[in-house]
Amino acid sequence: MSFNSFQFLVFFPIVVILYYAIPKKIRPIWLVIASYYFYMSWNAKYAVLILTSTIITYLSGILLGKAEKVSSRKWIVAGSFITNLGILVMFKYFAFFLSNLNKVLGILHVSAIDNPFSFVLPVGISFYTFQALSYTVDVYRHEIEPEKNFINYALFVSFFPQLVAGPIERSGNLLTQIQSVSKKKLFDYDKFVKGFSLMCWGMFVKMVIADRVAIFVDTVFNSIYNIGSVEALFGALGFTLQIYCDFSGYSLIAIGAANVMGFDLMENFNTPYFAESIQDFWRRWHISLSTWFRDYLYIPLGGSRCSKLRKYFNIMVTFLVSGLWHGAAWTFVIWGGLHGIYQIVGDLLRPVKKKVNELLKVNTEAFSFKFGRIITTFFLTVVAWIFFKAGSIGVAFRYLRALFTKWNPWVFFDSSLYEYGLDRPEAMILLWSILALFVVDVIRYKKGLNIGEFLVKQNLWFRWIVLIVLIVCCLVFGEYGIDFDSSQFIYFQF
Amino acid sequence: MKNAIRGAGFVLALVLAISYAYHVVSWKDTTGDYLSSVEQLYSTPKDLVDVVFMGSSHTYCAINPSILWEDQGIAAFDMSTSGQDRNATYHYLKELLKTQSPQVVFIDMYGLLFDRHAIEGNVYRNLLSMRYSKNAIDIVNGYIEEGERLDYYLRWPIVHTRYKELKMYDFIKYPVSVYGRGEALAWTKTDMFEYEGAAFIDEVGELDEENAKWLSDLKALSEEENFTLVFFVAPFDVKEEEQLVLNAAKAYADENGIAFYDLNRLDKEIGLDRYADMTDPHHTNAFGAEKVTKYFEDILVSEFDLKDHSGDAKYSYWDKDLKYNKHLSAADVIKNTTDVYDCIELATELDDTIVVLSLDGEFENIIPNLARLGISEEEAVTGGKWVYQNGAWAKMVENLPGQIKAIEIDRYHTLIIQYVEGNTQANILLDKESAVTTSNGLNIVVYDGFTNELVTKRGVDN
Repeated sequence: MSFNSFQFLVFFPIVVILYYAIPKKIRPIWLVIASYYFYMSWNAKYAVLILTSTIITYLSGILLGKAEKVSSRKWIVAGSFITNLGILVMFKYFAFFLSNLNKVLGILHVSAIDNPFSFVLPVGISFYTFQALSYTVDVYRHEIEPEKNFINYALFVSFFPQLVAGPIERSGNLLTQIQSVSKKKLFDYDKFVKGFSLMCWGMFVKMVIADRVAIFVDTVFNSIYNIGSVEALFGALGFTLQIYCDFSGYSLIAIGAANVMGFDLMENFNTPYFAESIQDFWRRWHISLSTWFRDYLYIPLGGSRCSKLRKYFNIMVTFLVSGLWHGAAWTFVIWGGLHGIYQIVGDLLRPVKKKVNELLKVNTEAFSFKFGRIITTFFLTVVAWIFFKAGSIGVAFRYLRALFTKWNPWVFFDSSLYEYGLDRPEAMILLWSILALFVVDVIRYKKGLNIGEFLVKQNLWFRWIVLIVLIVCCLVFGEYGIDFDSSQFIYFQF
Repeated sequence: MKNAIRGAGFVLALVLAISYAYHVVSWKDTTGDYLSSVEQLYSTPKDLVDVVFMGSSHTYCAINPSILWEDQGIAAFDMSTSGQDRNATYHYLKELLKTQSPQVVFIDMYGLLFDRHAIEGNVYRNLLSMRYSKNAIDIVNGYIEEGERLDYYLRWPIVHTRYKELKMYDFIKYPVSVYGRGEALAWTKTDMFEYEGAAFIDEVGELDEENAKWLSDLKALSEEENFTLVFFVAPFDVKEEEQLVLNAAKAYADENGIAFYDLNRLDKEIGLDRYADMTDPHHTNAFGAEKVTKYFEDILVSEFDLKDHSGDAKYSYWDKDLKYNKHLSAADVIKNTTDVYDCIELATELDDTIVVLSLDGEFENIIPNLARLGISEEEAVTGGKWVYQNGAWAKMVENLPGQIKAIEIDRYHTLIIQYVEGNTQANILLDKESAVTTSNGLNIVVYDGFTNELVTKRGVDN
């Protein structure tokens, strides 16, 4: 059941109404039932995996609470990691590792090994596995007390708004809220309005922008032998927009849905394309994952409080693993690697840039300087996204060749850009929607308010108009229905 | 409490906005690609329809209820949809029976000849036009496989894709969808075609299970609702294998005492000329419709005791429909009148017509002929633009630069008459489109203010 499905449109109000109707004490039980139903609507069998992960990490927490010896505590953490990551590797990476092994065996003229498994990737496995593992580490680090109530803990792992595509929550935030459900206000009107507004906006960016631009992007990427630089540029820009709207749209709906029920989830996106450096980009993009890697991989590896060489090694390991987390393919690894290289090169060039700025007397406080940094960062992310989108490394390099060597500016004037799945009216709808997205992101950037927080501060008539327009736009201009092959949210596969 | 009121207010405003948006994007009875007469049915007050003709485009092209109204005061209605199949015929008849109590229902047997729609649009027209009710659910269930019905029940997933084809009548009510009586007549004649004439095959084929069930369901419905069932085949170029099925239906009708009229076999009796009276091999044109309708008129008069409702104010839609058809008919005559001055005279005889004459460029040879229209040589010698409206001619614009006259035909249509030096094309603009045909001579524009259609634009060269 996707957020933009009719099933969710029925499911969610029922869950919310009953949530507020039943006694506070049994609300967690109701949400666990609802969350498992939500997850099982994809593949009922895979509920066993999430339950297994929940039981293992729950028990590891209990055991950690009792164990005093450091070595025992480490063994418990190791056990939790090995079993959870084992499940993740088996279901997500086994085929990838085997195909690479077979390539090596082929070079050595050894016959290939058949894959004895044929699993469908369990939806959201990377998300809930990381969330459950973070709990084990948090208990190990004494950052949180072990949760003894299994229902509360099961809800922490399976809370349906963020179950399949994040934000990857921390026990310190979500679990503590679950523990205090009985102390929450009966109904928080402002939070409800904020959440509903976020859900509407999330639906809009997913259905009207992401799924519309996806048509253009897919057509361009499927025509790599025929495209010139301009189509390639627009295709890459299109994917940059698509993945942002798709994933941030999902996160907003998730955060909004949680708000409607009185929960606060962590922010996952903060105007990432206004970032002034790649480092800044990762403070704004998929925040819950980047902070996860920071806290549970980068810092344990030594972080930045070590030699430069070691720091760069830590950065590269973190980004390569992050790439692999996104998908079992070398294109994702290269995408992650590129971001690691960007950061390292940026760090190495920092003194040079400083000198050049001083030498040329560049006003680093001016808007133009800031704008230049934003544009440069944006362009670097666009190039990296090509690897993320391309089905193979060969396709990615062919795409880059088209982007940089087949300059064809006449397509701006001969209307041939409209031949890639979006005709003029569709392109106009897209442009107006992007303008709306830009305005919302500028408000976020300048005022620090997301659309929910912004709207809740506005007068009733204005809020109503915005929300009604968003809903009607989703219904009329949204890409869904009989002629539309409804694309899943991209991040479900991770 | 305050929050609850605010919440209820928001839900109400949202429902209103969504309802309006649905109204805009939904398919309507406007002529063209999505023809259906269901909105016309919904606009009809209760218990007025005495005779119903059910069927596909064959029906709405062949049966003209305004003729039955004009001649006999019979209140007939074409309950038809493009590509109306068996399932749709049955459920649209049930829909009609919710508000009407017809004495006679004619069913076109063309529905026996196809199981699935060849055009996707026909699926949508037939399944998505009805108001929400159990019957609207049943019509979907009768055609769409289980598991694929949700989009059809919800409608939005299908209708919202119309946002790129929206036109004026998606936003404002198309007048004919209120008073129209279901017919949609064509005024063109067919190109020559090879007529197979398979209608005269006497061999009787078999009715498959679905067809047999459809006929018996219709019979059961007629008994239940107490109307006389009549089967007919509207004129079309029937193929041999199709005729076998139609013959089987006739056999069923004979066995069950149901009248059956295969009009493909009755060209002589009807006086139907397959070339002059058809708009294409499968549909009669307005001239064919007149003949077919008059044939049924005789049957209705001789075999049924139908009340003459002429003059009854409750039947005003039939009066308006008759007027509409008279205008269409007159427009066809005007369009096909070769002599321009005869054409103008005919146009001025019609109510609600606006005629524009414009002398542009070189026009001295035209001037003497204008006397026929009551325009003197003296008045015409300097050129200018005349408008016939409300029964009188008036010179509106002299051929002097900057002169402009705008006639607001209604809220949405404007006729601009002006003199633009060096740009004759701009001298007559109908909704921003030039209606000028010649640069040197007389331009004539005839516009029907009742149907809101441009009847003709012509030019007489000097």
